[in-house]
Amino acid sequence: MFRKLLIANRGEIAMRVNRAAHELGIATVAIFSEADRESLHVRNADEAYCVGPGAVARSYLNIPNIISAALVSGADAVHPGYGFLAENARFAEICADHGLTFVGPTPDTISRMGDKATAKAIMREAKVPTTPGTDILASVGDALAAAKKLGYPVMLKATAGGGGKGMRAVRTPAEVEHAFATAQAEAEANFKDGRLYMEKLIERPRHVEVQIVGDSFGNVVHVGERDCSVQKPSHQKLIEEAPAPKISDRTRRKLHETALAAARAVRYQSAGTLEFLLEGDDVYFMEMNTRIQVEHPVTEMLYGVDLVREQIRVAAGERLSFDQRRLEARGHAIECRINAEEPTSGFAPAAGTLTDVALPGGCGVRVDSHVYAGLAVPPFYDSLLAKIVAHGATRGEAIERMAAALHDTRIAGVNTTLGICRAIMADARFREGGVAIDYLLDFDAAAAAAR
Amino acid sequence: MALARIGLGSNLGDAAANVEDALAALGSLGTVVARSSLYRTPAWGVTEQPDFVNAAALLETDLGPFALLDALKALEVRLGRVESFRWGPRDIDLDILAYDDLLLDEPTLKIPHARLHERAFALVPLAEIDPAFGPALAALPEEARAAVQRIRGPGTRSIGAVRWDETLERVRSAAEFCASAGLARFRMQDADLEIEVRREPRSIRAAALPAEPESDAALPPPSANGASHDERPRRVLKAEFVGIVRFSRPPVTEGSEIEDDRELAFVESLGIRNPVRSGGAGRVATVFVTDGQPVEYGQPLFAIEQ
Repeated sequence: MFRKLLIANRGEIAMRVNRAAHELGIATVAIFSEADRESLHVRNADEAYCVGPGAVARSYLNIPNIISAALVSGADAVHPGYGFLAENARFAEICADHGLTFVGPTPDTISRMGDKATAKAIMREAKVPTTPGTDILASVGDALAAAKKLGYPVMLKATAGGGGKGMRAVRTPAEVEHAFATAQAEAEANFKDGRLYMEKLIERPRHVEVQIVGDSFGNVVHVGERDCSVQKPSHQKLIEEAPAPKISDRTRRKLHETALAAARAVRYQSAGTLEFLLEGDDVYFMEMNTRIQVEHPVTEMLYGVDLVREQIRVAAGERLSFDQRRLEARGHAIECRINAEEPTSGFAPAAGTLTDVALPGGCGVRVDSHVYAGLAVPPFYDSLLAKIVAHGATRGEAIERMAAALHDTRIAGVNTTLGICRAIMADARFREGGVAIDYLLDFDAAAAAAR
Repeated sequence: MALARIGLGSNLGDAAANVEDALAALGSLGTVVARSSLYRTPAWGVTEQPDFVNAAALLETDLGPFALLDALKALEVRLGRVESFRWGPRDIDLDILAYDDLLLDEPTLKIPHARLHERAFALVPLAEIDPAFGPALAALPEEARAAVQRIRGPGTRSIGAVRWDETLERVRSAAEFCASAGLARFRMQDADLEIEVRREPRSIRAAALPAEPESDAALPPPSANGASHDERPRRVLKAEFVGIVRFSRPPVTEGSEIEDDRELAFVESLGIRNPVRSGGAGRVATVFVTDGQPVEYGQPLFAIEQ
């Protein structure tokens, strides 16, 4: 097992990894930017190194300073969390070059699955169904030709993308040039890689993903699916739940088996997620995330397993501590992301000082958060403040529990998604289950709350 | 993964410290799952020689027996050279006493160690941490066993109630080990006692300096007539890189006068020297760091008065 783990991230996920490491008896090293000096993730680690100023490119993406902090502190492993360097194959390689174990899949797997066009080609070969689409597009001209062939509407996507960034829906030829330029610029700015590809846009799919974990002995298990269809217009997830409501057992089995086949095809050795679009009973592979995901607690609550701990253990060369037969979903779990955002103005990120924080608790409620009253939320980073997860014996019970937890929650000082999450819990369409990813586009929070 | 029994011995310089250093360094070859107390044995034969200090360790390792032998020999050279800055007689001897249940009889390596059964200074420490060697120890003459005397070490085991002074000594040595090995947490446990030592979690900058030179609170309040004690402009040179700060020669101290722009130090980061220059003439008002210490981004290194 590792002796000392450097956590190359911030916020709630840095704290989540820190807890898992301490439970395993591993000492921890935090890194932080000058804007995060007062952050809880700095205080809870055994050691902490400032690696740069607030801007992400100079701190949490500052590979030389992060590696140097690992070496100076005597760490023997690096956990990237999600975002930042989590799916950067070059970073994983550099870690290995310096004798540090990267807690994640191999650099080769990251680069092959991280490149979405390549990932699709691999999946097609493994007989995993994919949405009709293209390889990397060299120019606007290529994009126009491809869109004509696929038939509008289509979706432009950044091959290095994630979190909805570098993605544009295109409905007419006139929109292609502008969409291409803005998606490319966004991808360039966020991922230092502006390459785009195109897919047929499936208009009203559901977003369902399957959690998998593999070890270096060739064992791979799935830990069920999550439904992440409640998304902001930017395609960023807001609410996730498991199991996915209103799908047939046959489709559920197909999802699980497809995910396992895909993971085995790349000999996957860590925690990872295969994202699918679901339309009726049709399942299309969308992408693979070669990292722990924001919404992993939903699965942990449902199955009673610790995915981060498992991820660290398998990175240290240990065997998975469970096999498929021992994994059993119990009841239903829902997660709400409480972000510092203004839902009524397109979920624009908000920064400011939190003047009041009261987080919920109680039976079946889990909160992963790094915030406290008095914390200044910096403008540089992801707007996530807290993840509230509720578990119940049935979906109805989980929803009621979530509604009660959200009722107890109070975050003042910045605008948050707390209100819209409360409204969604009260909304008849959500409560019925099985909404598609366009659910929030015409969502009227006030009307839903009034009902 | 194999379990190797390693014997350690030294009779040069601070022999006890040499053995402790070697015990700590063994961790680079695997996991030290147990270590014995330190034992003193009078040198026999040449009586002018200083006493020997011996210990034993159980090492869980992925190295095969020959690779382990090579690694131990390399460690001997490294420890001997680093500690004494000279070549010559080695300060530390490291031997493979046993390796799992392996029997090996090669010209370069015999396992178990060829003379283990006749060496009290090896068997006494080993039997302390591995009861399997108790019978071999018992077979030695009483006088040979009595010559090997325990001096100190966390291998201490008392029979019956734990005595306070002994407990405090163990806590103290755990704390010292924790600090010297750079650990944040350290837990040790035996049949009657469990000790956990935690160091205060902190940014390394907090350890470097009690007062932040640029924080407003640290500055004296401006006096009523506007005159302050020290109006010479002050510039704080900060680390741009995470790494180890190394002072350039000749090293400056507080009060050093600098005649022109010169390199005061460099931050070694991933093998690259990142110079820290004075940026002109002046006087070194404060040295915030010590030569060879780790520094983080933005950490104050020197304050220069112009």
